[in-house]
Amino acid sequence: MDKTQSDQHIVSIINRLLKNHKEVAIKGLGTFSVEHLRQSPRQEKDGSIMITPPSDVIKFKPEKEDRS
Amino acid sequence: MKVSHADLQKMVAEVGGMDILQADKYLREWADQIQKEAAEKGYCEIPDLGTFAFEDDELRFAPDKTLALEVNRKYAGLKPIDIQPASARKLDYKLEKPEVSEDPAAAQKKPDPMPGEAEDIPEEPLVKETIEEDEQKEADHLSEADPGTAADHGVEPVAEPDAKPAEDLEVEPAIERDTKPATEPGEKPEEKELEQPTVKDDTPKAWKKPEKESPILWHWLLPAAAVVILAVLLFFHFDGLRMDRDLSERPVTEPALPVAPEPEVAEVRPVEPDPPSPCGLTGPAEELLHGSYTIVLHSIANERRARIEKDRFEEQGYKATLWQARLPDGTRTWRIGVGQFESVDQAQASLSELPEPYRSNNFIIRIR
Repeated sequence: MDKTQSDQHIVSIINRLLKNHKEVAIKGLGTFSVEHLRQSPRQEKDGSIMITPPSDVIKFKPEKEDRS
Repeated sequence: MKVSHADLQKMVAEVGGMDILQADKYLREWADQIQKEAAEKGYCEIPDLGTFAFEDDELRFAPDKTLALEVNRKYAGLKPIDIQPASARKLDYKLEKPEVSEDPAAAQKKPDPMPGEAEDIPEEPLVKETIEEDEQKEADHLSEADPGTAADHGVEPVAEPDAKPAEDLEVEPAIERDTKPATEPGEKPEEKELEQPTVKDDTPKAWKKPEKESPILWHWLLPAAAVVILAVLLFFHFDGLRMDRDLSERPVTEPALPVAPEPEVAEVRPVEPDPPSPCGLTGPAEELLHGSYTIVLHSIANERRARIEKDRFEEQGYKATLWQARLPDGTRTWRIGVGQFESVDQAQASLSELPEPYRSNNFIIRIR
């Protein structure tokens, strides 16, 4: 298996795990996770109050100590 | 659930058909390459995953759009909803009420006052007009039938200068008409009125006395009597209508007064009681009201599964609704909502009635 193929495998695995809302930690890079943002009210500039829809978003926390 | 680096090594080894050490090597090389490229170029794009970039000496990650949509599939396509007070945003069933009961144009078109509508404001002008018309007709009739009596009206203000009701103005044209020949044409109308007594005083008293009292009777007492009679009739008429309405509202069916015809009562009845509110978390499934809110508990791609879930909620007594939502990537998903509410506050208050995991895993949307 060459490097390109291995990279594709790594990406596809991380991709699948994130779709299943799993947290993935990778040494030398950081940790991926899926965060659920609840529905919440927000006041607009014109004074009206909007409720933002809930969402599941991908978060990434880098490994700072690995940065050279 | 967290997948550790060791778990990831195993997965890569399994998929790539290699041992753990080799998988670990590939993983480290992959991570180093991202760090290096991002540091050199400022960013590193990984297809199907996202873009890494350094910002403020920190590695940031922006996920690929397709991946982000897949992760957020459950809530994809939702838009912010504005909260409006319930009083400002009326539901369809509430708008129907004023159309039936408070349409002044429709009320004015009706030729006869209906039971229950007798107190409506538009009815009042109709009654006043009829009274004024009757009085005017009577005055005209008197002036045409007996010119002498009309001429004597000019005496009245003189005889009773203090008593000047507004109704006097209605008979003034007759006075002017009869006194014109006696007065000069160049004089002002105000002067005419002052001169009228002098003209009348010249008439002989012998036939003036009996004639003087009869026009007062005919011209003032008669309209006054007519007004009193009309007022009494109207009073009893409205009182009777009110009684009819009271009788119709009673559960016991008592014979209503003959004034109120039945079809008219049937027209008014729908206005009185408010229709049952279609809002709430539980109850029979109703047609969704435009602008109301519902609590979404499921987003399912498979229609069959979605229908099963919807039926399950209905069996538990919820107002369950199933609809198809179009996602930004063009695909569709089935959403299941429970309840129907006038406001977001009402929907949020009902969340506590939901069992877990729905109580903590839901979202409220507006039905558009």
